[in-house]
Amino acid sequence: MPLLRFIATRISISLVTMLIVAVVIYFATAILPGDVASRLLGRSPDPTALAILQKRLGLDVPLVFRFLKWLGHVLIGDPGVSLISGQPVAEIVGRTLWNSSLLALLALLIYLPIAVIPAAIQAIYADRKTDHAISGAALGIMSLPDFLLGTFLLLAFAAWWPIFPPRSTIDETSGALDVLRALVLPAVTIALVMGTYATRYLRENLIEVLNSDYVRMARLNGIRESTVLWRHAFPNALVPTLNVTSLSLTYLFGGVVVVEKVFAFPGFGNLLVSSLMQLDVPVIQATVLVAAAIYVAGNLVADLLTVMVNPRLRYQ
Amino acid sequence: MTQEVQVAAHVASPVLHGGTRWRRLPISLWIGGLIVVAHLLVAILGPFLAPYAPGQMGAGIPLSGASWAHPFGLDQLGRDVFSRVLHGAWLVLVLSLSGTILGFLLGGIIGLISGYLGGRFDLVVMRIFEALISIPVLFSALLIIALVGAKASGTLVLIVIVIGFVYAPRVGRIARGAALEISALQYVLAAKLRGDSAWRIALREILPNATGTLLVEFATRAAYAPVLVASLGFLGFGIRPPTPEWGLIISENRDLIFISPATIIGPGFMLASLVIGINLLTEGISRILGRTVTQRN
Amino acid sequence: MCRVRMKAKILGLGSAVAFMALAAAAHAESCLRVVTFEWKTPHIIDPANILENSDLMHVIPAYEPLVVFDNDFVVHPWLAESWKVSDDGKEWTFKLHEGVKFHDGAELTADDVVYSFQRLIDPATGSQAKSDLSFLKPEDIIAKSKYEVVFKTDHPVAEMPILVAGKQQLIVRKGKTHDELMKESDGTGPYMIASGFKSDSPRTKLVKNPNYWQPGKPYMDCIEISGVPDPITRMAAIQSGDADILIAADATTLPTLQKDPNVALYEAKNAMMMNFAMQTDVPPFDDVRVRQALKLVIDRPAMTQLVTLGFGSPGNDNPVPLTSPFAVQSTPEAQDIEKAKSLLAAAGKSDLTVDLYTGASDLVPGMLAMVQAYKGMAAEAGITVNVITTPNGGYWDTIYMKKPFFTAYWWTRHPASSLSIGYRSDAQYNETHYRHPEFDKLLDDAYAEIDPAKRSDMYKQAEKQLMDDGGVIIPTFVSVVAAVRKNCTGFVPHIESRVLFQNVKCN
Repeated sequence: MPLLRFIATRISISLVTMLIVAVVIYFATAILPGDVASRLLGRSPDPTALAILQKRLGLDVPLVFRFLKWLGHVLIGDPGVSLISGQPVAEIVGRTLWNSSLLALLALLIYLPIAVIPAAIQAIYADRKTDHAISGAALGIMSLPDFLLGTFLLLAFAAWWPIFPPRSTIDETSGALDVLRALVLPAVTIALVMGTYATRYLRENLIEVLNSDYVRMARLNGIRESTVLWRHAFPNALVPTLNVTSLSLTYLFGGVVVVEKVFAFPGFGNLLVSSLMQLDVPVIQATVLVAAAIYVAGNLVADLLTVMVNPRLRYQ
Repeated sequence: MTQEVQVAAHVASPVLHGGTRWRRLPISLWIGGLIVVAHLLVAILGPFLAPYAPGQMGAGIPLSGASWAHPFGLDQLGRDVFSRVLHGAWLVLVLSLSGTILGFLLGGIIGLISGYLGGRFDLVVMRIFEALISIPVLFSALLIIALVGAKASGTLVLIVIVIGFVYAPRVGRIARGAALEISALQYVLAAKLRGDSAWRIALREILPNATGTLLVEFATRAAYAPVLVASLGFLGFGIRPPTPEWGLIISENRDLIFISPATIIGPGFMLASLVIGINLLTEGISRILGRTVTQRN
Repeated sequence: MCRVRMKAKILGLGSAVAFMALAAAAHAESCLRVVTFEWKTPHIIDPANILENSDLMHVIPAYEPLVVFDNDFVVHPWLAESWKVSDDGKEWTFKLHEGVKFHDGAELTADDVVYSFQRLIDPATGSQAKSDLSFLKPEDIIAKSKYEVVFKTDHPVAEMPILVAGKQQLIVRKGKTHDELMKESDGTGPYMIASGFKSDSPRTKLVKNPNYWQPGKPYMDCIEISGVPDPITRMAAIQSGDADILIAADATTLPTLQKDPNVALYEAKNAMMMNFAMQTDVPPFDDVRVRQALKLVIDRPAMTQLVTLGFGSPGNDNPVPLTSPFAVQSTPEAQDIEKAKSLLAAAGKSDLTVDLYTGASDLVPGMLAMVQAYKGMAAEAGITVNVITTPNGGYWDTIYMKKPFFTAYWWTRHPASSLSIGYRSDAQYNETHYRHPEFDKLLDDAYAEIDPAKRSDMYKQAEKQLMDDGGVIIPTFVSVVAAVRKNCTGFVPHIESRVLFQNVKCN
């Protein structure tokens, strides 16, 4: 069963990758400057209280042991408690992960048409004015730092023409409609950033497919141009889209930190920044680990899907 | 097909053929090249052309908006933003380029060697690259800055190191891919059979032939670097003021978007045009190289 | 033209329908939506332990002090309806308002007040208020009757009413522990933090206290507080009506907000000071001539205008603002580059270079502008100021009070508190390592002095000493400007951002 073997290999490779991430992140955060214990005790702490707290936090045990213990706990889904709030890290991360997933989902939904439709138009009118116009617009969006793009959208649709809320602070008491409204602006910002990258990539692929012998044959056989595009060209361009999307996953969960700040969205990026600011090491570790896991898992899924779409690759 | 023909076809890029093909060069290369050259000129001549010193307060009435004397307006401290942008141009280029170069030195070399050597070494290197890549760019950048601590935070060197470190594994993966592809080609196999040393093969055969791929990668990365720096500034992990770095100017003046929009539109336009220029140039180059790639196959 | 407009209208209508009933869906109950600039999670909602401004925002609607002071530090009754002091100044009696109910329904009595203050001065509580109340001993806080509390002291404490009105000096229900108070509120305030409070939630909802002692109040069903880190987003929130009150609008957004017909601005003048601290026992700052030179280079009115865009006033390296009746001098010190140069020359430091540390993003709005303006002004006297920034997160534990020259900010306090909290030899926050027995003695004498005029003179002497000799540079006091939607009434800006929400009503 080559397919099963392929899947097994890919999964084990992914696990190894995650293990390396765990090592890197644990030992990196272990040497963070500044002392969590003294941070907890306010602007200028009392030395005896400091020593007691350091002991309570287990900061007096050798690093390697702490790592193994931590890894064990992470594997059973318990990455400890936040040094700052004392709440379980799993709960904190879980909550923001849920928020970020909602945002990611909506962003992906908006992203797909933003990526695919312009690319299709460009491929059809390749090297003509429409193509250049769309390329130019995409390039313009791409060249702006995300926080400026987000700010412009915010000013346009939350200040000048206030149809969406400017602050996307949601929590568990927010109604579904509130959540949806809060998500729109950040999601559009993210979708635009991701979409413009994907469009360029997809355009190249579509043009290549449209110029292939196989499509030329279809045309010669008198099949309509729209059918050629949607039936023949698109499925072939699907694989690269899948790949470029899976590569964007790090952006979707990590790169959006800037967008989250603009819209005050309680997401994953904000969690990392605030935990870094407060040197809340268990939260930093868990956040980075989860972000990496999402990327690795996303790539795994994309690879498997690719293989299913295109079985030839299994034997490579 | 003999190996000599293949090598010849590969080396022969249209640019080298000179005059006859000028007009066939893609338009994106022209526009991109023009923009980039303009930016280079600004970077070199900027400090001499700027009417005011970068940190000079009282160049005019603070926040008084765009005028002929101050095309990008004045910031909160009454500094001429246009002068600041001119003074900072070389800095933006140097930061982006040196950061990207560092990334290429680290990632590119390891990647090429790894791809060429293959085997266990490659396996390990690739896992490490993958692991590092799986951490989002900004996460890695913020982590590195937090790790370094107060002493070096906000220094230009640190920013270069951050860009380099973040780029290294990503470049490494591309370089490795290129090396893998090339080392399977016949002329490299031939060199191996000749008994050339691994180093010699890597330097003589692999590196030159991976140049195209790496060049495109380099330009794409270099174009993103100023955006990355600006984002770090926005998040409060950026360069020390009053450095006239564009990203810093933009995030510093972002609050002024209503009272003095020119102070953000001006530097924003400059940054965007630089990024667009490099991108177009890259696209042009990759189109040309795209042809070579098809010739090679 | 018309056609374009028409199109825009149709487009607008379409989107409005597409994105459903927008504003209508949002608020069924009348909730006051408050946005603040700072949101440091986890929030500490035990009033004794509050640290950050966002903690204060949680605690203020839920807990109340014995007395309140206004922006001129005049004290008014609150939970205590009256107070008196014995002739020797060593015994203060506060008479409580009758019929005040806690959130759990119990009535406020003197025992609750005794418990609250004993808790504040207990080292195990770890409250910042302990230094304000250092003259109190637990056994000298006495419930004289059901509604009378007595504070006895060894020596006269003239400023007692001000000192029992500090930020943390709020009354909690007798017997409540820290853990209990971190879960839900039990104070006497108009709004309550209900159980189920999450300390790291992006927003907090406080519900109306149905038993509030001031009749008819509060007017709103609830208060929703949230923090928005970005100034532009904050401004958009108040302009679009997504928020009712913006606690502190940034100076850079004020010109825009001033023009907005739906927004009113409330200015609490001199609410905050921004300062540089030079540690007076570390070279080159151990030389008073260097300290004076570093003060003389500042053009204070110009600096204030640049940093606050007009919403501030110059300072004189003295934590008491120029306009205060306690201020030793009511005009700003003039910039004197020549004198600064000659002082430096005399000290042998003509080409002085100093490192000035601050946060990489504004510790408070305007801080980075102030630091850069200072760099520019110091350069005129040949002084090189290297601005060193570090990410804000680590600032308070790796830089603050650990480097010889750094930035900080303080909410303005009464001189009794502001002169001692940062400049006494034994002060916990002695930022400048200022240790002068005669300064301490001046303060001690002032506290014991019952005659207000003499006391004021002593404060002024201490201020003068700080201006001439101290290590603190205070170029600017900043107004805290709240932006409030015009459909809301009853908002009163307060100097310590003690917003009392019980009078606020939005239609």
